[in-house]
Amino acid sequence: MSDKDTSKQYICHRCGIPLEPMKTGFSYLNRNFQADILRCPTCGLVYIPEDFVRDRMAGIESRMESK
Amino acid sequence: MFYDRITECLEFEPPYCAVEYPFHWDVNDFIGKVRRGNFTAAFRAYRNAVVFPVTVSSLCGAPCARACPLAGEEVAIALNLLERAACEHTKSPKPEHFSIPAKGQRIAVIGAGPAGLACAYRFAERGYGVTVYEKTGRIGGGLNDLLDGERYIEEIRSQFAGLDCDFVFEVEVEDIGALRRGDAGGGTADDGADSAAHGAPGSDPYDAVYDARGIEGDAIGKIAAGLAAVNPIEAFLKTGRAQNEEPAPAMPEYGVEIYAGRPARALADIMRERGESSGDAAPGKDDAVREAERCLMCKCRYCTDSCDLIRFFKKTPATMGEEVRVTTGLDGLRGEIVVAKRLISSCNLCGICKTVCPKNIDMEHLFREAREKLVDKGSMPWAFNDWFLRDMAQANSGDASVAIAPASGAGGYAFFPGCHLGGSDPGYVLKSYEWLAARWPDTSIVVRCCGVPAVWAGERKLWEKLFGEIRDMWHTLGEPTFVFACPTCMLTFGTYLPEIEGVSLYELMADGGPRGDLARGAASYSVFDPCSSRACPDVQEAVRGLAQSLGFSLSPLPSGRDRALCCSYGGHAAVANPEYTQFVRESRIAEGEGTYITYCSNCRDIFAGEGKGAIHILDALFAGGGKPASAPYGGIGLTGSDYGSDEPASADGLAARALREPPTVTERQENRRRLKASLVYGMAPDMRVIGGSPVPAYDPSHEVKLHIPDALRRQISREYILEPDLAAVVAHCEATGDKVDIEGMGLMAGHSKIGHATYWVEYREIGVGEYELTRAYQHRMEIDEDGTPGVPKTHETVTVNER
Repeated sequence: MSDKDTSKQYICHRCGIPLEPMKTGFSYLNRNFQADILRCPTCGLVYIPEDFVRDRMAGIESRMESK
Repeated sequence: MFYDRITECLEFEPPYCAVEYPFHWDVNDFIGKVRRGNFTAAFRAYRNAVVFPVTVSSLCGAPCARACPLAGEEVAIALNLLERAACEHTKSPKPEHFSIPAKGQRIAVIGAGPAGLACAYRFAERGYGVTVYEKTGRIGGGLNDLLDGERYIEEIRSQFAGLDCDFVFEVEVEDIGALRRGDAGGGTADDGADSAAHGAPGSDPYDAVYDARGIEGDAIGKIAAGLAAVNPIEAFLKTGRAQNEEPAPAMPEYGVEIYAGRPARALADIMRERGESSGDAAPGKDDAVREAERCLMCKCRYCTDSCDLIRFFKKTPATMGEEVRVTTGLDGLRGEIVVAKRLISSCNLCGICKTVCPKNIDMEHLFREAREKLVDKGSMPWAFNDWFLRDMAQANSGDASVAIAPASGAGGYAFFPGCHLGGSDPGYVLKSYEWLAARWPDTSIVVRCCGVPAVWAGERKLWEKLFGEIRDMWHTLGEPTFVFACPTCMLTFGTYLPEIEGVSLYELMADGGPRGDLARGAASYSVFDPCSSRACPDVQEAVRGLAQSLGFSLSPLPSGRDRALCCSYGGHAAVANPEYTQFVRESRIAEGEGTYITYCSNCRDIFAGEGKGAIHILDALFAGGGKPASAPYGGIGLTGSDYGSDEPASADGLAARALREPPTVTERQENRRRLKASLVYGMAPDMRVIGGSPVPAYDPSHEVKLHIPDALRRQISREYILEPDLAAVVAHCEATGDKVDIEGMGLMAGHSKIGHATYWVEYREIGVGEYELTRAYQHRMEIDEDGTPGVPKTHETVTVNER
């Protein structure tokens, strides 16, 4: 049940269509970032898998907090 | 204030031996190299310090031994023999002359005795052109009269090989001024001297002259004097300003502890027994290494030995002070400086630094002030303290906080258990209050947080508000003496609410407390003093008295009493620096084999969470089985134990309590709600609730019923995620339809921002309104969900996808 299983389809529950990677903005401690994140092409619903949060976002958060 | 004090730090004070030693060098560095068996590196360090190593090590009368702290206790370290060992076992005694560019300046040295030679050598080594004027026809001066003189002079000759240094013999310089001006080479310049020599009539003048004549002392003292002259002369050449010689170091102010576990036998004794101590015999390599291991390597290391933060970050107080000053005081070109924010938020604020420091340098104060400054600047990362402040808010909310006092008017005592004791186990508070009320029936109880999380977070406005609330409550209750169960509450009150008199629960219990025989069948036990108990030695004694009267035989821990150290909880460092708090936990657990008896529920839960057996002293007092309760809180005893008895625990009961898994962060808050409900519903008829909401209005069923597997429950607790928050996220996803269906898995996923953080859940429906959680995680970054997908509103170059 790995997040990295790309064969999994993520479907927007409301719109009934698959999510697609789209550039999305983030902010933390007065700085802004962007990342390709799965979103619903219609309503913009976001999905961020656990691996991405733990492996990528956590490291950047930590570096923003202190060197 | 701090930055003035930090200059008093004894970090750079030399070892004792170096004070007596005429060459002021880094002896500890030399000893370290010998310990590692690296005699070549040791030799280089030594040669660099004394210039003529064989000569100096042979002639040295070892004045260092007089200052060695081992001199009176064991036998002084034979530094002199170690120096000889370095000379003997180095791979190469040849000098290394690095290709330093010529300085283009010339120095005249008058006299080719030990002082002049040492000075000349050092200048030549640094790239100066040197001419030595000697009235006789040979170098060495008084060394020539010594038994082994020829050997020493041979060494000196070999050291000078390849350096730009001329010797002018049989010239007596009478007019130094003339020498400098270049118009006289001395009164007898033409008596056989090299007429082309610098300084001789008609040649270039010298930039500086060192007159080595008339220096008093033995050969060693003269060499040292010649070397000591070099830096002031060089400084003068560079700046044009006169500079005094560096003053000899003063005797260090720190003391050293002669610790055990070092080699027992002194090298001098060993060599004497073997008949090897004649002349200037050098010891063998192994013997030298052992002697170096016997050395205490004196330096002030009180804080570096005691403070976990210094041990973990491997930074000295001065370095930390500078990083904190920059981080809190300055802004960089690209915005604020974030260099030391994690350091600032990692300190456990236990104060061991100032306790052990011979100069009382207070790093704790520095870090407290720095946190306040970061909060004032608005640049404290919210995540560092968010959980702890939210948890405190819950403890102080109508859900968990309550004050109960006799309807007829409050009495002499008010029990203040603190927020974590009841969070760990409501029974601790209920049984303790029962015990107090049985002896002093008019005892009130105030259940809330003492406010220390606001202090640790640097939130001054918040702590002033909270202490104001507590002060008001104290007045309302008729200004009772507060009875503390938690040493941190007690310390916090003593610091911020000094007008409120306090006593610890354990001091009251120690007077005529229970007796028992827990030694039977029991494993080894040690009292673990919480760091905050350092301020109250009477409480430390009371707990030991209680433990002993219960029958425990206690093994002391290395830390404890006036050296008590933090369990890792203090200062709320766990979010800012989890690796550091893990390091602290492991350090404390490694101190003792047995079960820890402590009197802070955070210490108890921290250790038990690592699988280390730990009990609260209240476990020993109240975890006994026995008759049903006659007291008001019938039915509520310590979790998992029979209720209602004031009998002490059995040894087996205690072993189970020692391994009791600590509650999750959710259970902790739930325990506080249970505590309040038990207190209010079990209240005696002559008691009343003071102010606030009398009964918790909390509905634990929430909007959805969430099933969480045990492993996931423990994981989210470690990450400071509350289960009701996750239930709220699921409820939000279900109510709005803002969720993702994960195809083929029957799973759904969604998120919601609660407070600062964004929480994600992955779950499946298992019944009507019932869900099983399969994943839960959070992040601190905020998603710009309102922005148009694909068109971020920023130009920031950092992209999250790339590492």
